[in-house]
Amino acid sequence: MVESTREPEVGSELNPVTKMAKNTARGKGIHDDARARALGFNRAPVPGVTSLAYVMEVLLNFFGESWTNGGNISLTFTNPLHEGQRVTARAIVRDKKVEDGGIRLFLEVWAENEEGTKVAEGMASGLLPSVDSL
Amino acid sequence: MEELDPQQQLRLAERVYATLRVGQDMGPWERVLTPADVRAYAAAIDDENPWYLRNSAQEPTVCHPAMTAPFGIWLFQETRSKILGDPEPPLVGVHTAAYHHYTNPVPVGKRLIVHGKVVDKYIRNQRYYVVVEFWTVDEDGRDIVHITDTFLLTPVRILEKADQV
Repeated sequence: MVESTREPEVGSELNPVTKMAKNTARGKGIHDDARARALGFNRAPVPGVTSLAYVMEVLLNFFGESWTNGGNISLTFTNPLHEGQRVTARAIVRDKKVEDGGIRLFLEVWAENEEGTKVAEGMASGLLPSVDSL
Repeated sequence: MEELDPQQQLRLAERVYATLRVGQDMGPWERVLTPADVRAYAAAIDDENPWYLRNSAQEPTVCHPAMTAPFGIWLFQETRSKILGDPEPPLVGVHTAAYHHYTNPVPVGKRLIVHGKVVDKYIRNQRYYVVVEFWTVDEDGRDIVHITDTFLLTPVRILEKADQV
């Protein structure tokens, strides 16, 4: 795993984050068990934005608060995540480019359940400020 | 909220899909996030980072950027409600994808103003999808985040309706 104090190599993984998934919108819309079953789900899915928050935590832990100055993330919610499932958010560095003010890291990001099924996947990027700009 | 069977869901989705047009504006919609909101959100997602708990002049509360994620969803739901003429329409959609680009930290205690625009709509695998771009600025006009959300209007497939006709 990579510490935020050094520039990671392409292929290295940032420190993952593991949680017990919570249905942060329980009872609302599709996030209600009975309603979800009526529409073909096994049970209510956890909101996609909750998986998004778990993946962002990996990025914020690495880049710090500065991630919100130019950071981006794109996620597709590929499979339902259910409350009580163990979910791990991960990020692997896939590329890096020098740009004004530092080095931009491009990362493959995803969240997976305890069976290893991806519930959200996509890409993200963030700027590692150069020492001069700190 | 009144519960509807899948075919009724599909009829509502058809109305929303037919009414929304690409280029249509949404909002504005406003919200102020307080330190208490930030703490509650951090607890909800089990994020124990002290950034979210501090609250002093020297170390102000830091807002988790994902707190902006539902803004577009709420604005979209408000638009959907207007189309259907019901403040709590029983239409049940699914959020299928999100893109977020942050330009500044999300401020705590300032008014956040959200605008949206429909940028695409399509039918895929017999289901109705709508893509909306949202952008959030603070009360000083500072750009905060641009979000693109993809919404499935209902998980019910159009084919299921055709099968019953």
